[in-house]
Amino acid sequence: MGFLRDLVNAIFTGPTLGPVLIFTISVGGVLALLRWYRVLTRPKVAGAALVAAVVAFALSLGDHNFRLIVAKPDNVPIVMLFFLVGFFTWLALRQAALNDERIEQGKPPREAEESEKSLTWPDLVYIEFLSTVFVTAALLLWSILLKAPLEPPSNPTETPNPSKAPWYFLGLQEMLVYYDPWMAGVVLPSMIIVGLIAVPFIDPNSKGSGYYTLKERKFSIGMFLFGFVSLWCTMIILGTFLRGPNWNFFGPFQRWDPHLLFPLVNVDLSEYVWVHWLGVGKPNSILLREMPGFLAVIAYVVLVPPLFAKRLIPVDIAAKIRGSGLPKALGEVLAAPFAAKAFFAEMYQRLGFVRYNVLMLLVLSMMSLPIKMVLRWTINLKYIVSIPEYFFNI
Amino acid sequence: MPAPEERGAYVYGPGLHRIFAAGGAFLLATVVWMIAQDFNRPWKVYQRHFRELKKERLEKELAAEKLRTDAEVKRLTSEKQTAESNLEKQAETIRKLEADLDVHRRQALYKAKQTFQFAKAEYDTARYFYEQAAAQPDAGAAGLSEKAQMDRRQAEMEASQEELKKAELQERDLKASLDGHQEARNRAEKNLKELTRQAETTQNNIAKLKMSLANLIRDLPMLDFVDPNLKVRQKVLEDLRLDYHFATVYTVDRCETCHVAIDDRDWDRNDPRWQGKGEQPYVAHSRLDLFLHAASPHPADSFGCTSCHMGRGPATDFVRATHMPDSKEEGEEWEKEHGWSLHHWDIHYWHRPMLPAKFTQAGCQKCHGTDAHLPGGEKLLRGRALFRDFGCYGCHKTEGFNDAPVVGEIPKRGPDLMHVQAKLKPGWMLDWIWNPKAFRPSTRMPRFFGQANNSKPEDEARERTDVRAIVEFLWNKSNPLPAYPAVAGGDGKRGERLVKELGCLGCHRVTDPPAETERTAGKGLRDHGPELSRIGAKTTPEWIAAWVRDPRHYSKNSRMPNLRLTSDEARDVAVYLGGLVGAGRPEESLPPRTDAELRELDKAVRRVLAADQTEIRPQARMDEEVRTLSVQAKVDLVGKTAVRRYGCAGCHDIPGFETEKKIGVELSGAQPIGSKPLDKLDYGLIGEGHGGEEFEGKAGFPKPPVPHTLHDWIFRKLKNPRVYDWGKEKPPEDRLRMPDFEMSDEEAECLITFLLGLTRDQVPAAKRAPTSGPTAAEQRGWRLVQEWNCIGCHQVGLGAIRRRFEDKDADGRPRTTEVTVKGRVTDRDEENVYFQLWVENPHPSAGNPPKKLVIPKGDVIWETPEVGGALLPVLAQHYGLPLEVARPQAPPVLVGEGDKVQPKWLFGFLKAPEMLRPWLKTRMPTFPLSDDQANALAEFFVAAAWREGEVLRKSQLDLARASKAEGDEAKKAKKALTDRLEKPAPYAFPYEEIEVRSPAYLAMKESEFGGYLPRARRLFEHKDVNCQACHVRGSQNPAGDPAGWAPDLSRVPVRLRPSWFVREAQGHRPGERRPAGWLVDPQGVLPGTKMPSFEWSRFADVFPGKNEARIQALRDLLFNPELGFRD
Repeated sequence: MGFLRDLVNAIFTGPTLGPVLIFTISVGGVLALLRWYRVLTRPKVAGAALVAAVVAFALSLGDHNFRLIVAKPDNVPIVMLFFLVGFFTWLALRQAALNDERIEQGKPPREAEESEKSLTWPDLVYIEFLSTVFVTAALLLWSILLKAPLEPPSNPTETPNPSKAPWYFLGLQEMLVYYDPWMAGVVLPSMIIVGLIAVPFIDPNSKGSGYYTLKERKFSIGMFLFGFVSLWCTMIILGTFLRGPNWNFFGPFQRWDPHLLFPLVNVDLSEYVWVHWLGVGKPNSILLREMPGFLAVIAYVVLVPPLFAKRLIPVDIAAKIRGSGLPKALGEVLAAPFAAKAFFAEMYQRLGFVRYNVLMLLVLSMMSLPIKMVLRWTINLKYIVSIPEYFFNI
Repeated sequence: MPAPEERGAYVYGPGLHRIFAAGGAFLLATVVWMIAQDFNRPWKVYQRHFRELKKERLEKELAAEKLRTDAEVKRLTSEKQTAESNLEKQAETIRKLEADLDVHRRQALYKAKQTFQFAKAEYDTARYFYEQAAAQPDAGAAGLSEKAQMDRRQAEMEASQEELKKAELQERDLKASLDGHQEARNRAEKNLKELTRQAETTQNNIAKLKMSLANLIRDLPMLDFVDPNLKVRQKVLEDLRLDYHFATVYTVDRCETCHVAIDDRDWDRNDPRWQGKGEQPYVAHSRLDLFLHAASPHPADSFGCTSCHMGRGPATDFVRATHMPDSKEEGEEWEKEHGWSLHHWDIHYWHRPMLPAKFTQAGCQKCHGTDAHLPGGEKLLRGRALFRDFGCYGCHKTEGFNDAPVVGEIPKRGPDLMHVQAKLKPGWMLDWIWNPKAFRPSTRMPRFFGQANNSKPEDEARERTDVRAIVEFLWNKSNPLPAYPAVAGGDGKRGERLVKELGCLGCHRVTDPPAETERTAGKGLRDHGPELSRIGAKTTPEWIAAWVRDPRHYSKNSRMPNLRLTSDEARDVAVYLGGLVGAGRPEESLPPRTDAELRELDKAVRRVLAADQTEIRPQARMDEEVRTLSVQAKVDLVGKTAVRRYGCAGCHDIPGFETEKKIGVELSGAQPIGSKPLDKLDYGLIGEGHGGEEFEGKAGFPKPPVPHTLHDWIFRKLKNPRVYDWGKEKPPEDRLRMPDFEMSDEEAECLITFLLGLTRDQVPAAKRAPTSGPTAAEQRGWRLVQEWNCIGCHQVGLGAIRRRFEDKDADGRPRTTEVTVKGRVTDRDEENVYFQLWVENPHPSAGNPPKKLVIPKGDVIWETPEVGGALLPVLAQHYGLPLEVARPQAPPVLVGEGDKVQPKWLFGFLKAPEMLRPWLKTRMPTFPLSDDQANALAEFFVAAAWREGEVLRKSQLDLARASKAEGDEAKKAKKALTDRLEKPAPYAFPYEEIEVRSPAYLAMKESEFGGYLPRARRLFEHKDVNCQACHVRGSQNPAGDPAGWAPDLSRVPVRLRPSWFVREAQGHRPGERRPAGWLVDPQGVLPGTKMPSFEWSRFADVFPGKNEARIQALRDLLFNPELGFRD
């Protein structure tokens, strides 16, 4: 046990490996769910996962440091969030799996067989009343067992360490690690809101209305799961349990030592280009200095959508790779980008110019976060465009 | 659509009903649990238990009361029965009388009353109309008719009133005749009632506490919001505000919610009724004479609890109130009992946790920050004295130290190093700086070198280099003084006698160094100056001779006074002290540096140069510089850097360091140490030590566990100032450098008490100790008295004992009460303390001086020692006399000095002492006091004596007010007494009128007695009085050995106050007056004096009138020598 604990701590400590691992697990999990959801949502499999999670959690509770963080009255709701998000994801995907099977067999979805009407009284009101009773009792119990966690009077001269946002903003705060406040605090959250409003207007797919299905809406559900579970919820959980003093990343069983130090060696793109690669020093002109960054950003936003939209080579490269006799796994990996390109090209056909470009802008904005994360982890990239003179950084 | 029952598990149906049933049960259970939680909140449990305790106690009281009155009650009851049986015999008559009375009341009397009331109402109305009519401008005939109407009504009313009076008289007669029959019974009933009144009150009180139906309902769960017996009690203090950074809020203290009897004297912890089992939260505060009680200086309604104790006032729960344990063991006990833990977030997050009991006195600091005499605050004062004597403020800026010039604190605690060449030798300095305690274990100079964070082998070589550089730097920079003449031919024996008799030993120890275990720093007295047992090994006789004659030639700020020695005396003293070498002399000069030492010096130079930010030095340039510098220049560079780094100039005057800044963290100011948040403290690598493990790390010294509290952090820091470097890799110049004072746990505890008192708390001026007036003057004086160590020689303050004793209350019932007696403990044994009273005390039954008290140890509540007079036992030993007999050979006791001498004279005496007691070998030295300081000291004595009188007056007033006066005479006497006691005594500073010298006064006396002063002189010279048999008067000395002489009487008019000779004082019974004063009762003024008491009534033939008249005449003679001794 001790060995395992030390191992986990050793893996997680540091500015890179921990977050990489967490996001890999989270993204990998979502991808796996999308791919093998029929198997993974079977009650036995899901039940086993739940049991495993509960057992791991219970065992971890034996550790002083883990308990200190998890049992903090402030953090208890986040523990619930962990299990609740899992449960509802399972519930939806399980329904989808059952329906998809029926659809494949040519039957209508389960929802179609049920009556569309049900009585307010007693059906609805009774159940609502029941929920009220249980929720009231649960709240009472909660308030008896865990007292309100009052902290000291706020003091402008004393910053708590770590200073954490309220839990629902921890995702934003995690974004601040990778982005300038202007991006992480203004642009990206606005895009999320605007994007959510725009969803009904972008999505012309009429399937899946009134019943659960994954097969017929794989892209939309996949995007949602990626954005909500992999990015948003994962960042909240990570920010709550694994970010300690000085916003350092700690293992789940590690003591939050405020003196823990990591070297800060992040470098802007302009420095990479001018100082390291060209060896000439950064130009004095801001425009010239940040030209590589601007070019990269423009290329990302302006060039990627048309690049994906048009079929440049009239050959199905993905199919060719798959059929080229390479080992299957390698073939799949190599074929994926081409398959994606083909997928988007097909989508362009389906959505038309305006909807396609709005969608692509939103998707690219969302993907900018993982891209920036990967750049930070791999090449310590600080900012792509860095103009501190005007408080403008990307 | 299928019927509801057929539609599966999640729709309305029996399954859902079952879930509903379970949910209902669940909700009910949680609600019951919630109510139970509320019902069993800890404070309710305490209050319920306390009600039980109270009830038990009252029941016992009731039983005792019943037992006491039992016989009497029986007698009265039988008396009553007899009377009643007598009444039986006249039953017929009585019944008839009662019936008559009843009929009369209901009929005739009732009717008469009503008739009168109606008639009065008619009259009032008529009067109103008449007044209205008469007030009209055209009031004519109309007014007349109204008048007639009114007059008629008035007549009617008066007639009916007559009728009523008759009826009332008749009622009274009937009642009287009825009473006449029942008198015996009524009297017995009344007496019985009187007798059982106390029991009845107790009974009623018990009823209030009993579990009656009403009480049950009041405290029933869910109903207890209406008017419960158990409720939260609080004090809201609007002017003591808590700083919440963005706003300040009232202090709200709910401590009394659990500490139910905290201000109730009846529940004292030592009350015998507890049988030793009394403990919080059911017992009273241990010092109700000082705190909480309405009559104390800190009543609960104005000071609350948390303003002193800190903690979270609004909390009603043990943990949330942030109780802090005195020790780890106590903490563990609390953990079991209350779930207390230092890591509990209610404690962790509260910014002003409660002071552990052992540091409680820290709470006094915020209001009494400059008070130097604070009975009950001894630990705090000792902490502050340690802070001053250890020179902490030399490095750490701290308000209240060395910032009030009139107090005369010296700016730097250590000796002057401006002229070290004249006094010291380099070899001695080297050993001394390396480890001062090796040469003199009692020194306060701390050790900087060889500490825990520099304990590796390479560290020692580096530090030795630094020390030698410091020595050479100081030596080279020393300002030369003219050479001292050689000391030749002095007599050491005479020198020794001088040292022992002159009073040197009041400040210095010479042959009796304190034992290793006896820590004396911060106590003043004989450790005020350095211990001299090896002074000869440190300096030369020549320097000593020059120093004792005039210390200020060497050190302008020294506190050493001038003893006005002749050059012969100085030489003798120098020879004696110069011979005190102890365990040998160190080498005089430094040996030449070895090659290894030179290499170390170079390394040190490199470190200094590398740290120099003003220049960039690549390796080659560094080598060049090191090669070209002379050794002298290197030494200067390294020495100067080390002196600066270790902050030597914080305590010593050093040439070139006159404007040096303090090197330590400020301990007062915006973020004072007592309010420092824990995260601002550097724990280094020492965590909280969950397991309490202590182990050696690579740092080479043990890592102690340091619990996360401010006081534990400071404690570790004081015990090992380098401890927070544990396990750290730091370059030498970044390491912690606070020196080691080798503090005992007790000293550290006192210091922490003081440090925790330095907080940000704001107390309004009205609640702080006053900064002007007599009280402030007294406190300023106490600081001077300590700073100049007057207490080394003189006794300045009395000891006090708070004791229980039996007396009677206003109703004459015996009771136990408390009184503070002041004086001196003369002896103690297993059972008793023997106490010489010096001051009258408010309870006449507790005695007046010179009475000696025998106080059983169990009656002592607390005790404070006397202040000063350390020289007396030393002199007694020197002269080979018992303590009490040696008293006249010691410097005089200064208790009550303000009552005795005129401040103007005292001012002059302090500036230039004169000889008062020719027999005394000990000499009053000349202190370098400024006018302000001498003035402040003179006022001190006046203020101290005045306050003592006021304390007495106020307690007498309280007693007088509480006394019972029955009858007009007694009431008048009581009124006169309280009126007199309500007037505060005049505060006679700086000027006072000596009335007895005024011609008008003398003329009055002359007219009363005729030949007033000549008669007085006859008394003065009477063979049985004969003052000049002992007293010097001007040039006339008494016969015999000067050792038997007494003070010069010719100085009386300028020196003494007339009231000291004779005044009025309280008698031995309440309200009684009696004469007191020096000539009335010398032993009462100065117990143990050799001045005899005279039987003045024997001299009626020499001087007529009462005793006081004779005494006044003698006094007036002494005050008017130019008239009285004119021949």
